[in-house]
Amino acid sequence: MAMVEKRTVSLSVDGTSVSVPEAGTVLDAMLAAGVQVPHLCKDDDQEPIGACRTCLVRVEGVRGLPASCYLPARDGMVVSTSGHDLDRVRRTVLDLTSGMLSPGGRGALALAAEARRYGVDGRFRYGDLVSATRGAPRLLDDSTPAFTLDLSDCILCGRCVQGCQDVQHIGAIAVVGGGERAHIGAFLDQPLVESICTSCGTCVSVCPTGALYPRAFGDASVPNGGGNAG
Amino acid sequence: MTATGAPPFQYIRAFPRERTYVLPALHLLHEHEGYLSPEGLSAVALHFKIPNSELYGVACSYSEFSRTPGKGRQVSVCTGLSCLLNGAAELVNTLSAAPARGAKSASAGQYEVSETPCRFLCNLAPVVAVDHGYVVEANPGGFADAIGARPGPAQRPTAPPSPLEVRRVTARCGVVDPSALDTALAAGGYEGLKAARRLPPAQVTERVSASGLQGRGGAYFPAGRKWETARLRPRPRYLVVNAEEGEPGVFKDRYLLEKDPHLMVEGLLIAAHAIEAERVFVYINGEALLATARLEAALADAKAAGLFEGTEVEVRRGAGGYVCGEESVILSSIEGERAVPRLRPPLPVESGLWGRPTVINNVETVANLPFVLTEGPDAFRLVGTESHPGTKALCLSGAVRRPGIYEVPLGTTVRSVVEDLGGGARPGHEVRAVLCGGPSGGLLPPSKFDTPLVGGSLDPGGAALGAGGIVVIDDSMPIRDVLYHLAAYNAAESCGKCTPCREGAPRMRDLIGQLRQDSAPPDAIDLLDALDEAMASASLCGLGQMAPLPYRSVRTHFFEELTRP
Repeated sequence: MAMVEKRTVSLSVDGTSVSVPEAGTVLDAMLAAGVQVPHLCKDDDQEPIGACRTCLVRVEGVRGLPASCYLPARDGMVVSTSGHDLDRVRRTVLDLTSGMLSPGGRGALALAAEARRYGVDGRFRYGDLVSATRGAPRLLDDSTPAFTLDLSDCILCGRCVQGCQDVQHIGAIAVVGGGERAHIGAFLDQPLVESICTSCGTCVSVCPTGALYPRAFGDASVPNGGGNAG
Repeated sequence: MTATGAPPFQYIRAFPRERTYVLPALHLLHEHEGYLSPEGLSAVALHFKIPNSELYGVACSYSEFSRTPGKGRQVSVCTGLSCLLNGAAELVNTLSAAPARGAKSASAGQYEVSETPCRFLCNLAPVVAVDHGYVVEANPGGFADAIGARPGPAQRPTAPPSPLEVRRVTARCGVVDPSALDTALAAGGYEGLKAARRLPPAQVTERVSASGLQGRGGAYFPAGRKWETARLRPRPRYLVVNAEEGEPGVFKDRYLLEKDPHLMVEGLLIAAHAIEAERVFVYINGEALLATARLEAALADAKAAGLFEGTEVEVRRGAGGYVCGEESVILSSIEGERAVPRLRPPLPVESGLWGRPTVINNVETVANLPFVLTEGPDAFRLVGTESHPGTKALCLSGAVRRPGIYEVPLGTTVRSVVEDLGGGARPGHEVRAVLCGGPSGGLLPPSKFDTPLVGGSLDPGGAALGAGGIVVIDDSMPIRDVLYHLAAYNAAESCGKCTPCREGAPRMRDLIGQLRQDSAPPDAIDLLDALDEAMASASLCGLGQMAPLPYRSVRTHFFEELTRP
């Protein structure tokens, strides 16, 4: 491919004019403008997943509330990141996300902190209707010595699977099942220790809610003292 | 793998090692084993060099695949809306109560009874599937004998034409022998293809644009414009015909493929010529066995007759789930990925299969092409409305005297379809509403029956023509039961990718269930309205965005029944 001049596009985010590279997204422009909006499933270094639906924006002339993480930035776009219906919808989505988490757990605390950071108070008004098991045979998987997976702290953003499949090319975990039964799991829903997991830690490092968390060294319950699996 | 004897799963190793054959391999495994066995899944993962967890995630996203071995014969009662309106609940009770399930009848043998939503034989309700065959217009009495008779595929009747109909895509249905190419040729088949091939591809595209033909899968996007967008992009380009037809209450694509498969084959070849497609896929519903068999035979006959001129056509079977009809899910599925929608942009015409420009057209859209090419764009516009020209194959079912397939000019009123074609309410009953657009649409009350049926939204409540399913609801089923049924369906069919739909749809179902039992919290309507707004505006794909429409329509037109018994 021939060398081309690096082009930029200019758009307005909440009244502030901002420029980003031509291939950039509206979320890139928002971050460049210093606008704080939750984007739970978007890793700064990875392709967008589009699952959490918290980075919603309004764009003049565009129907609905598109997710900014995969909306290409175009010259002259007029983007709002808050406003009456936008705030209401984002709150409902965060309420639904909260409803996935066990109250008081590390996921709920992480999400509440995240919500507060963006000026949204965490209300768990849809929490009591949650179906807890999500089709998984177990909510807590502490079979591997290196980390623990607690599905009751998981918001199914998919970042761990992206890290495992697309970044590390290991493929030890996947999103298993659909709808209410969707969960993070391994082949045949076996414990993670039976999978090809190498305990590389990528999934743990990208999890936004702490559903995946490292086990402490010297943990007496771990057979080999918390070293690498396998 | 065993160390001795013939290596197992030889049939899986016969597939080229390309990820696009993952779903065909899973289908074959399921056929051989009766379920997706752990050993079989391992063999598929090994053959395609996909980590087994990743393959497991793919396999589990297709709801038609069983992951446990079945016991005995499978009897499943359709409990779709049209079947419920025709006595399906009574059938379930009778069949489930039978001692030892079939022990009464030696010929029936042992069987398991289950329920499934929609078998797409809605005009023949109630329907019971027995293994891969069907008992239609099922009667609870003497059912064991019907099971014992091992029923085959259901034969759909062809209604005598009505003066209100304009039969274009259905013109040869019931007239030609679907298994004989010569009868299709004698009835003018493939004349449109000949006309198309006399023109350069760009001119074929211009003719289709001039006709105003719009997508008949429910979106009514101009077919010609979609082709033009694809043609602006460099080759290779691909064509996908969407024959997944998974919306409850819609059975017109199956009807067309079962009765006159050559019409669609001809249309497909016209479209492939127009967009200069390197490869064509027909993605068909995994349970549409008769339609698949007739389509495959028609493709083989047309190819043998030299009509393909080098076009490569492959049939791919889906494996369940309403979401499989969503066009970007079809792309993921053909590529051997999980059945979840892709992010848009980019659109499939910009970047579809393997990143190449891909046109996705519905069966009925493609079936309209021979007419456009033989009769011309002006003739196509002779019926229908200015903004929505042509005809639409409607699927009328539910609580109505004469259910069936009716092809009418776009712009025909709901009343004309329900009363004139369908014969109105059943004796002793009263029509309360029609459901237009299935679980992604809404209820329309009789006061709105003069609404003309065209593409787009028909009513602020949410009713839409969509793919053409019209289910008549009468006083035999309370409106809130209808709503609960639709909300439960949408919750069950959510693919689970995005939060508003995955989390919102089950909560919508539960709140409606509580309203139905008069046990809802006082703010239930506020909670439901917030869910409606969030799902409609924040969901990833069209199915999630439209999932709240049944609720919105009932809230708009039947609010009293929602909140009071």
